[in-house]
Amino acid sequence: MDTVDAAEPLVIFIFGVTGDLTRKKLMPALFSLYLNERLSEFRIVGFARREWSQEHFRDQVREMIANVGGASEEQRNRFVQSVVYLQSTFEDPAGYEKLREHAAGFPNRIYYLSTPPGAYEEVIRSLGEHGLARSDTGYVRIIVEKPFGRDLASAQSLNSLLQSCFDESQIYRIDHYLGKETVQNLMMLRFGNGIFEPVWNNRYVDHVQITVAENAGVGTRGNYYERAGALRDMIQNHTFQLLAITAMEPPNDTSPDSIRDEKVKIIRSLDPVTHREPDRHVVRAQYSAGVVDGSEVAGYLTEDGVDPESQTETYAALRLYLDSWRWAGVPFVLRTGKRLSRKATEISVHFKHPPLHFFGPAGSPLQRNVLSIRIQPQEGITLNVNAKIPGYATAVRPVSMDFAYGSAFGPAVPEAYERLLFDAMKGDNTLYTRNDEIEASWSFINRILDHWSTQDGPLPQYAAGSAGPDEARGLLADGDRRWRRV
Amino acid sequence: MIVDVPAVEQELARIQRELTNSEVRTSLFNLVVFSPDAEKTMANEALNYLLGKRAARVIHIVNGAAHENPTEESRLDVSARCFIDTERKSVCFQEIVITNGSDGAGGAPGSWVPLLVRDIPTLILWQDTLCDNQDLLAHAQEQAEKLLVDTEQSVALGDPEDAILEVVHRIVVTDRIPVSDFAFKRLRTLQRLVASAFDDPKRTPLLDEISSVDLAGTSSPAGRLFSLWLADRLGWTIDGAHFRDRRNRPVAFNHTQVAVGCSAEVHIDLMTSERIHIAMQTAGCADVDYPEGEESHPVVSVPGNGELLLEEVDAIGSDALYRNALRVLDRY
Ligand SMILES: NC(=O)c1ccc[n+]([C@@H]2O[C@H](COP(=O)([O-])OP(=O)(O)OC[C@H]3O[C@@H](n4cnc5c(N)ncnc54)[C@H](OP(=O)(O)O)[C@@H]3O)[C@@H](O)[C@H]2O)c1
Repeated sequence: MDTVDAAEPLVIFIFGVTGDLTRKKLMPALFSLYLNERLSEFRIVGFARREWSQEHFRDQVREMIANVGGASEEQRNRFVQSVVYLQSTFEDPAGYEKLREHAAGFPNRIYYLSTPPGAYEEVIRSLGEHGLARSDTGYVRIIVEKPFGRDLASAQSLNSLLQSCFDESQIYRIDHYLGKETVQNLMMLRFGNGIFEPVWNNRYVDHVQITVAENAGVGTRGNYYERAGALRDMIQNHTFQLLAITAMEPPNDTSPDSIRDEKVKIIRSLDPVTHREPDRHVVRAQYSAGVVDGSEVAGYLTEDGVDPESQTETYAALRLYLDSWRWAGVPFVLRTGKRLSRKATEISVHFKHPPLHFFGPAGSPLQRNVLSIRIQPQEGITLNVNAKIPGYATAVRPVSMDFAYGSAFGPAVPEAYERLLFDAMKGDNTLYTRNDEIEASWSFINRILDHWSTQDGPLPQYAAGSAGPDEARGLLADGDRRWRRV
Repeated sequence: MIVDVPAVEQELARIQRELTNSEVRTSLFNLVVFSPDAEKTMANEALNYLLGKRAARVIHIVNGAAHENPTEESRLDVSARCFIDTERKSVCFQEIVITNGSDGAGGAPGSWVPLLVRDIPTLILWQDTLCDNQDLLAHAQEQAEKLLVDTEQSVALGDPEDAILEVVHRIVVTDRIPVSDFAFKRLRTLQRLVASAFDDPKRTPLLDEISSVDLAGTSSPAGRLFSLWLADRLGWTIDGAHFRDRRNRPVAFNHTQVAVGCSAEVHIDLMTSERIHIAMQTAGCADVDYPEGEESHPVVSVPGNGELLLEEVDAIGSDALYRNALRVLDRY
């Protein structure tokens, strides 16, 4: 019989339990863990300000998990019985005393900060002041949501506040992209196979593209987005993490720190081209009105909560180089944007052409081999190769060798949050970001932000539903390099 | 119009299941056809030729409905056609027709890009005017591995003759988008015939002795493309309406238009006042008369649009001859 590896008994406190993230991601993930017998004895305590009764909260939780399939009514009831609402503001000391009562009887504790970023400081400090950051009976861990700071200084101050109350080993800074199966598989692909690593360098790789494209706009989060922008919201964290995993050297072992040591070296080895010549290497833009999925949508400047003269970018693209033996001279082009033609996150490694060109029409080289790692939607890996078309002539066409997670392994790919929450329960922080990684990436990003803050005037525009601004094309305009289709 | 991508995919899968119960071959490419009219386009003839030979997703964007029916909202229809090949497998065209209404939404990339199958090449078959659709075209070329145009047809649809090559020049030379032009492809037989007239080593030096070329036949863009091709191969530069050869001597080029698809005749006058005469019938026979009284009658075959399209979908690379011919526009 298979034994299921379940978490030790624990209580999970979700700060900001009435928020969007809890509804969309956290509760469904926790329920899924429960269904998969990953939670043995547990209690979930939801902390928020609204005057909700226990019954109302439980009804809400029932709704939050309604879309998780494969559960019996009894399982739903039992899960809902394990959730408790703690009504308090983050500022009220009495809330933390109630919290202590709810923790009684459970040796282990996880705090999940799913609050507006402005509330992190209050909650962390209060936990520390109330002696809730340590426990004699088991572990205490804290998970911090993104954004982790809005520049280097605020990230450093958040790090020092966290470290004044918790040890680094207790701190879990979440980047949910690292919880995605394909991102983890990238390491497996690179270091678990003999064929990729030998060509994973500047002798064979022409360039690497990393795309994090969304077709959604800012929706109701205009207020939040105005203070963030694409560079802060997507590049500093998710995209840099994808870059680090793609480019890092093999770690000494698979321990969390060995892996994170290698990742941080990548961020530190970024050539400051964006500092020396920002406008040649970085493109920013805003979406204008357009058509997405067949329907007309508004431009960024007319979205709710957005300043009509806003300079916040909804698209950012960067051409980066790594000062390393392995990657010298290889461009890594990163782009992210809202309201692009479709939602797609992928890493694609574009290999160099063969040294001689025998096949295909004269003067037009064949398509490059491209290894693309799709992170969402439909996680999977594709290798494009050129193959001969059956027949007498030597006609060549690109074909793809495709591996789709869903179809190869069935539907059991866990949601990113599920995997990450379980890792935190098991004390494995490999897939969480360390303080030095965050500070290294902020220190790089900060210089771009500083440059932008000196610029005036409207940003370049791209039509909603398009592939992005024309200006981004220039980042790749060299030989036959082109952006991959979103 | 709302494009619900999962619903479209499900519907395509359902139609395919209904049409065939044999194994279905994977689509090899996306072909996005832009045309002002669903019926009256060479795309249909060419696509029919491809049917059963290559499996593909075909997205047809009918752009003209906006003008004919100005109140109509954009619309999306889904269908499929399948043929069983010799191995008893189904080769299907998954077809999506988006009729661009007065809302203009149908032509926008946000309507059709999400419907492209990922990780296979995308070809855009542009069957519309090029000059007054620059915006749509710019978005389309962004999404494509290759753009297939037909400058002959675009002029027939209303593009100005004198501007059309400048537009494709920008796409091919400035934006470096791989492009094939059916108008140029259709010249291939004539080009081969002209080139082969100089194959004999005793005639090859005459290539540097050309004083004028008269082309009768083909449409205006094809005539200009033919002259640019000659100029590229022979190192001529542009001098007003004519050319100058490598030694800076003038070379006249005259073109008399004849409707699309007709036979063509080329007179090549040499500095020695001699003349080479080449005449080609679309039916398959050609006559070549040399100055010394020799003649030859090679058999030629002129590929149809379907054959040309098949070549294009099988070879994704760009047409280097075409690109080089357009580059002559920069040589003056
Ligand atoms: N939503 C997403 O998809 C998403 C994705 C990635 C990361 N994140 C990050 O996750 C965090 C939470 O996001 P969210 O979208 O869930 O935020 P949200 O919808 O704004 O929810 C904020 C929560 O914090 C509570 N809260 C705020 N101030 C409080 C106070 N002074 N005292 C007590 N409770 C207070 C609110 O309680 P009341 O409603 O009772 O006032 C609510 O439960 C943010 O840091 C965000 O950046 C969110």
